[in-house]
Amino acid sequence: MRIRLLLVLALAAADLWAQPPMAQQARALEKLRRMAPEEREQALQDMPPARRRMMEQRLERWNRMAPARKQRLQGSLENFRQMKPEDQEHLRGLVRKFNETMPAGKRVEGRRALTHLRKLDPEGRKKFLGSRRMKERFSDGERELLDEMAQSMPD
Amino acid sequence: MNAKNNSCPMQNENAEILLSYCARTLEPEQVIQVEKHLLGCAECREWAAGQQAVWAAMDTWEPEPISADFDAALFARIAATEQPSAWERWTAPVRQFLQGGFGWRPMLSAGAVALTLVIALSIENPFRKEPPVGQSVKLEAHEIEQAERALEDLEMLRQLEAPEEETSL
Amino acid sequence: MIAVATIEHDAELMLRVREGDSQSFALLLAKHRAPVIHFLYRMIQNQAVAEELAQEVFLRVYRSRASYEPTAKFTTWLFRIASHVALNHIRDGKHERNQESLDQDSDEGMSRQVASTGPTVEQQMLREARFEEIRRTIQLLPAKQRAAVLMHKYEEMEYAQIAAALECSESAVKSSLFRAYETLRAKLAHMNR
Ligand SMILES: [Zn+2]
Repeated sequence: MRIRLLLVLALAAADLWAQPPMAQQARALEKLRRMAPEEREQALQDMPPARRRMMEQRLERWNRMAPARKQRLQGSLENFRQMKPEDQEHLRGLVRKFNETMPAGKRVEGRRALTHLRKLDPEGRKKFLGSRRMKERFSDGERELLDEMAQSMPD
Repeated sequence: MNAKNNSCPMQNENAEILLSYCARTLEPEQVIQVEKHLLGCAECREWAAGQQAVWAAMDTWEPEPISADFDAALFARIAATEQPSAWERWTAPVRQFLQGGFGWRPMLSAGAVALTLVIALSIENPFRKEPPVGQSVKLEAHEIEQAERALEDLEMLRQLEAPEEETSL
Repeated sequence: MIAVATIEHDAELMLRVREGDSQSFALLLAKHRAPVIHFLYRMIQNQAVAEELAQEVFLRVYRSRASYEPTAKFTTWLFRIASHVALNHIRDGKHERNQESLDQDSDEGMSRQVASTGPTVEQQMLREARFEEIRRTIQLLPAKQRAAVLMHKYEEMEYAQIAAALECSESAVKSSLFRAYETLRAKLAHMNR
């Protein structure tokens, strides 16, 4: 019985350790999420309207997200925060370029390609990007962009 | 279908037959009947011509090609939801052992829950606690900015994930 | 008779999926993938989102395998799920955010078509303009009317099937359809005359 109890405790503790450590930003976001709608409205009333609308939209999307996905993204955010500020800015720029230069349908394929690319080593990436399928779907510039994005993304 | 009735295309039953006629789903003998009616009813002729034009216009709307890896992505999602996480797999035997159905198990579970709560409360982890939404909280100005930056970067990171992970649970 | 045989075959496949036969699921997917995606595409008018929603539809089909009972035609059941997913998506307002990519998509379609050999550029442009008009007119229909029209026109589903898919009465479907076609006739009938 004592062994079982210890195992329960170990499992409970390990479940907790498996959660990402807390970040200030995450805490602020969580506070915002927990607010009553009228309180939130009051808190955000001084923001410029466009920025505020964008923020509310994003918050709503975040609220709707599946828990597992939230957790995964929180992990990515923490890793992103650990990158150098200039590297963070560089990635933001690449994502902007990706969104602005590729049509929606192609971006879906691009995102899939990115997920795959990130699992590969440099040699594998080169081979994948040079494959006939990739060459048929993406221009030289687009493949270069995907490669750079995959290399700049946090874990 | 009364040729002498001015509002005949407006009658549901009539329009239903006319609609089926335009969709070419009528039996041959019904087609003959409708065409006979159309000869004598300008209003229905007008209706049918309009409907046929709509039908023809809609025919020109071809669907887009489907991504070649649609199936692969779906099977990957199915596999991901079917498979327990590595952590769950690794601890499965232990969890099974713990769910052995002994008399003292409820007590032990209650103890575990209580202890988990104690640990959870002592280690600050905002994502773990999930208190009820709508609770009274105060937010400082710098926290709004922090939350905004977090949302902005989460949005960017979300856009980098493969879409099949979008709704995965 | 052919229709009946098909229904039974699909339901039979689904029952095999229930028993753990993934091959049968692959067969069902191969057969219904295109109709479901095309329906969602015409509902949402964004191919990328349509494919994402279609993934959700088939995932739900797979997850419901244990409780599946062949009480309705398989396609009716499938389109009930697809309609649900599409209408929820539209209701949640996710729809408007996708709209922004619409123009991008059509721009791409235009340049692709203009560049291809075949009909003259003028003919292509005319076709594109017409196509845009159809797309926009259908987009303006209320979501449920739009779903009814798309199932009726492109999936050739019967009133009873559409009613079952949209979870309403057959007479409600008929009145939706007539209202929708009336709108379309008023706006599109000039095109082919
Ligand atoms: Zn008449």
